[in-house]
Amino acid sequence: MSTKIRTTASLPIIDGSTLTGDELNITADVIIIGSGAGGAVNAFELASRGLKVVVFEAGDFFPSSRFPKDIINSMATLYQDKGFQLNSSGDLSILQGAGIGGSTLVNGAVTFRTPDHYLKAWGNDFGLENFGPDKIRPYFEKIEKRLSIHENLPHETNASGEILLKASKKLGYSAKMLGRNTKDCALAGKCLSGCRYDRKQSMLVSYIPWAIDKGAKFYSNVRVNQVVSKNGKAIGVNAQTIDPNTRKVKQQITAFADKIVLSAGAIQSPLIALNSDGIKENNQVGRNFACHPSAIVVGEHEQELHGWQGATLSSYIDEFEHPDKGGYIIEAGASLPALLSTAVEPGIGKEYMEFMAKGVHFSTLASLIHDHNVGRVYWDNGRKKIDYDLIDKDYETLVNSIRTMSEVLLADGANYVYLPTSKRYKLSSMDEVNQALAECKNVPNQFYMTSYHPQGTMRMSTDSSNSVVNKNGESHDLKNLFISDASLFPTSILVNPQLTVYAMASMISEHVAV
Amino acid sequence: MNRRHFIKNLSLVSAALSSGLVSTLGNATTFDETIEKHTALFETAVKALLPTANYPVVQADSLPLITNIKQVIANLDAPLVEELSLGLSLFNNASYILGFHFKPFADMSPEQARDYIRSWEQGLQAQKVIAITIKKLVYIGYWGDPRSWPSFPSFDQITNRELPALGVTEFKG
Repeated sequence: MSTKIRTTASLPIIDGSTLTGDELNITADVIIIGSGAGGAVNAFELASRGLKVVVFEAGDFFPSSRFPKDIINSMATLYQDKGFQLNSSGDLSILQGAGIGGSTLVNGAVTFRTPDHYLKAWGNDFGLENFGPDKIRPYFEKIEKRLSIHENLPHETNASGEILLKASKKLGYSAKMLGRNTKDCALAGKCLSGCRYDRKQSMLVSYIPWAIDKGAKFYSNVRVNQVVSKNGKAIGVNAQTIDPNTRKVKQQITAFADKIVLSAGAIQSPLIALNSDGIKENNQVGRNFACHPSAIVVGEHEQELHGWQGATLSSYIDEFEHPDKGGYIIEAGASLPALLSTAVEPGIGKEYMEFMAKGVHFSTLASLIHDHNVGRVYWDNGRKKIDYDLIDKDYETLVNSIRTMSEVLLADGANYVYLPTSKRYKLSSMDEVNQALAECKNVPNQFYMTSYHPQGTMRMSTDSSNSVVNKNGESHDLKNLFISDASLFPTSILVNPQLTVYAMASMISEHVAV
Repeated sequence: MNRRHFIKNLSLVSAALSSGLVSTLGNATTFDETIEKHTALFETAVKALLPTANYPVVQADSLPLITNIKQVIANLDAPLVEELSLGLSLFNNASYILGFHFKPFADMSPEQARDYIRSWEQGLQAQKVIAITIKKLVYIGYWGDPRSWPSFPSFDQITNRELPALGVTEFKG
């Protein structure tokens, strides 16, 4: 007997732009700002405890049936700033999702448990023993079960992933299949443009409907600008309703609650906090920004690979994951046309056409590096600014990751590798790779880089002098204000962060509920 | 506007394009007046950067690339569009002096245009940024258009396959 499918279009998301009259008077036990990885989990956990929960999402609501069919058009609808969110130097694109479900709509579906050595360092250096490996493990296990998180099965690989595994074996590097939160993955390459088939277990198909079933109310097109406080306690938020078509402000709202959970992500959360009184006493809000930037190397092989077939991301090398061994990982990605067209520099004119005409022969590897918290998010005359440049140590890590990606591709028979440099390099040996990398310098626009994982701007620590929130996620300065997103991370965690955010949100919700 | 500010802001355009993930949606008419004057520049850039004639790909002149490029630009913030426009004007007209071409970039042959772009890629930081930006606008205008995808055998069928959506996942406890 077939079961009737409950579509995401049927979810009773309230369009804030349509609110009138008394509908604008909103009160709750808990107001959650943001509906992504942190906000959705908090909404479910808190509503499950019987609390009246309201979630305000600045973006629009797109049921999966309305997701664009390609990544290009999805940028205009599902990405923050339509994909034009950049660092101040302009050489790093910082991608985040926008809309009900946040970045979980458009992430690569890759999941990692936070590596133990980061959790231990958080305990030792920031007093966060409550997030130690043994403490957080039960939360990982529970969420992994709920979101169908599993290691990619053999049929869920892609050509680049097979090359990565074979080459790693030859080179003696540790490599594994990636974990992903997918169910019956359609292998359609839709992760980054939004899974139209609901196979990726984003918040839109999981924690959000589960929270709604427990009574939580989700509002789209409501942009919170400020946390309202009184006598050292958070008591509400000032927000604006936004026309979903023009993105212009329609109405002002002030909503009230006993507790506020700020889960707008590592860039928007500090910006809201900076607009608010009473939570920036030590000048730490917006500081310690990290984003483990990613670079791509493309391999050209003799055989046809059809690199766009299979999982968007399939396997990875963890040999260099520990900071003492390099501090980077290499993930095998699908070779998608729009990505190939600008990720590396193959030359112009004839050289470029020859490169793109060989698309069927390409493999693609991407690195993530453990960077340091040297950036800052702030307002500059009303415009969002993200100051972040690679320090020399992180530049060296990025260069090493590019070297390893080249080595891996050449080890499994790539005839040439193309580097993510502004200068053209088509290289056929490691000697050539090393020579090319030696020519590069840590200057803006040296490498084509993208960040998918901003983090660290509302640092969690027991030391109130160098952080924003305590070990329970509550503001040092403003009682009843909690932070629950990747901005909490005291350090960059290197790996894809969604599972860490889910688990920390679950744990923080226990303190919000008290 | 000082030089450093100009380079930084133009770099913003380039970095967004380098992600390979920019949008081609948007209300292009909002910016038409600003960017219309650069149409000839992009027509020359397309011929120089996408010489598709001898390759087994969808021919560039069969796609509305200038419209696509304008739509990408339309997604930028207004101040960035103004700065991009200034950079494009500089690029187009500096050729009277740089290299002694005595004509704007828009009037160059494809081969001359490629040499000119290469010279800017090897020039000062501001020149690099402008050259990279123009290249990426042209590439995204082409590869961002699904009608170019037949060049990638089977990609279109894979990415546009019709499969049922599974809907909301049942809570497992």
